Amino acid sequence: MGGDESTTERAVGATGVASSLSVSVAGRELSGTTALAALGVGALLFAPAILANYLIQILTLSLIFALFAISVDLLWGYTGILTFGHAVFLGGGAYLMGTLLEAVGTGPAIVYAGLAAGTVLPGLLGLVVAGVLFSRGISEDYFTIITLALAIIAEQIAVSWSSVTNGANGLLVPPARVGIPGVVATELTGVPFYYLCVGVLLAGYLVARRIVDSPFGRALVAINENETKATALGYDTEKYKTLVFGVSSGMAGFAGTLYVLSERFISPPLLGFVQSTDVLIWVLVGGRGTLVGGILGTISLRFFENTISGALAFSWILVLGIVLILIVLLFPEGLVGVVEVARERLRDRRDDEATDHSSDL
Amino acid sequence: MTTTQQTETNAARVESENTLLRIEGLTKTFGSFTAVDGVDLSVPDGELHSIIGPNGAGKTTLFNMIAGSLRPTAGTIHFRGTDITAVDQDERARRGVSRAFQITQLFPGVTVHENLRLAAQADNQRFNPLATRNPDHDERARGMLDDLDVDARPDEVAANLSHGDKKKLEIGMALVSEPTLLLLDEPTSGVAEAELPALLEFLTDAVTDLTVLLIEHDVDLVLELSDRITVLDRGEVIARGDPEDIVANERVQNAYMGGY
Repeated sequence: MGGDESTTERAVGATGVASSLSVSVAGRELSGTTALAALGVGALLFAPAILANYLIQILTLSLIFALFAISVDLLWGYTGILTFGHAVFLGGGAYLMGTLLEAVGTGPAIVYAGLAAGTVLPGLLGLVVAGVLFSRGISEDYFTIITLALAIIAEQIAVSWSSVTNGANGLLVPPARVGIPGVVATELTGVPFYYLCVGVLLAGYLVARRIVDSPFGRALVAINENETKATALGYDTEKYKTLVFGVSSGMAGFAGTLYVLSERFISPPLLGFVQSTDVLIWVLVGGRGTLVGGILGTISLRFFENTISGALAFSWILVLGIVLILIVLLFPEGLVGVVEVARERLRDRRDDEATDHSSDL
Repeated sequence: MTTTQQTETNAARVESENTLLRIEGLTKTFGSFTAVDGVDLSVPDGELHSIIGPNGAGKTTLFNMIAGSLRPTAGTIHFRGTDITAVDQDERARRGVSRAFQITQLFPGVTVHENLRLAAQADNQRFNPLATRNPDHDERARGMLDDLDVDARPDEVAANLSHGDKKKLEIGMALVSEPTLLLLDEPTSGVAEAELPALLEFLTDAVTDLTVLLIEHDVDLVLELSDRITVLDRGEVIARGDPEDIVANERVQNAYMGGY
């Protein structure tokens, strides 16, 4: 502050320059988040022009899984509910859509019915599961263990109920057609389907953002921070936790329906324990409680997995494990935390430069 | 003793008209240990009623039962004429029973402002995940922040506050929802000598129009603030009356001051 005053004494013109500098710095800072978001969306939009087809296919699936990761972040990152069984809802949505396409038909009407059923039914199942468990005053640790059991049970059902699921061999699903029922119907694959997924993920992110910024979402944060206090203040925490679990399960189910449209194949591990923990790792690496972290973590880890598994056929899981441990130890806030730190450093340096310039003048 | 009994009968006469809180035979046992033993208490609208007693007298257990975090083994609690003995804690809070904890319970990872806003928002629950925020809650949080006069900035994360500021925020969170009955559990405990006068000034201002149940170890403060005092010892009421009665009461002298 003292330095600013002496500058004023020296020359009015100089302060004019200095203040305009600081304004532009502040302006840059404000638009920083928007710029990063634009960069991310831009990269997704231009990816098909740069990346080979098989990479676009990997990326498409990553976008779908990123939606799944967002649904988990709502629970784990914002409400503090850790679940080892969220793939039950992802796989549930997938099997619903897959069975419809395989057994009923592949037209647009069926696809839309599948999207709706694959969202609503897993959502309702989530509501019932969470409602029953939380209303019994179960602690969150036990809740987590029960979700783990659910994942194991669900996977076993998918293996055993082979008349519907084709058991461990998995279910091959015919290509779906979208359009206007009874008028136009076309298969949606490759780059157009990729763009659809970009749009869906963006919409899913915006809905989730809206949820966490709503009074409802803030109550979830309160529950995560201190459930005793939240209850003492008047929040019916059971109801909030049940409802967010339902919403999140519906979102996971919806991601599952897209999975089938993309992969045309489902096998029991999709609703199992491993799939349920994979998503936790994506969210953790990306950054819990940020929504965008789930997207970043999913895309980067899956990309890493797919490239490194080609180069290191057998040891890649080992490498992945070490990288994960390092990330968690060094950057507990995940990739989003790394970006934040980098931005802060950049801002500090810019501020330093700005003051240097003003003293030069 | 006769004075105490007389005050009680007087209180009973007023009771029917404007009793806010009425407790009858409230008992809590943990195994073979009786923490609160058949406590009767009736608090008229606007009274500041203190609960004092030596450590382990059952004061906080009594508070837990009134707030609803603990179910009584026996007895009833009426609030504004309705039996709330079986009503859940969160529901009681929404009906106007507010509580400031002895050990501060904050939302440590969010800002001071957000702590207050979350407290202001708790009364009207919204289960619509897509609803927009109510600017009124922001305003009430800001107003309370001005009254609290904490040293920290509104955008400071609550975990970083000084103990005194945390204490103030705890009380502010209980007040911002505009409660009918405020349960204050040791508001001055652990607050530095230097911060005490400011906190007391704020407290006295804040509770003038409120009905307050106060647990407090600072006897001078209790005698100064209270309209009436109930003395608990080993879960039982051993005396009740206005501050002069209590000071003069021999049983209190023996049980409470002796146990100090």
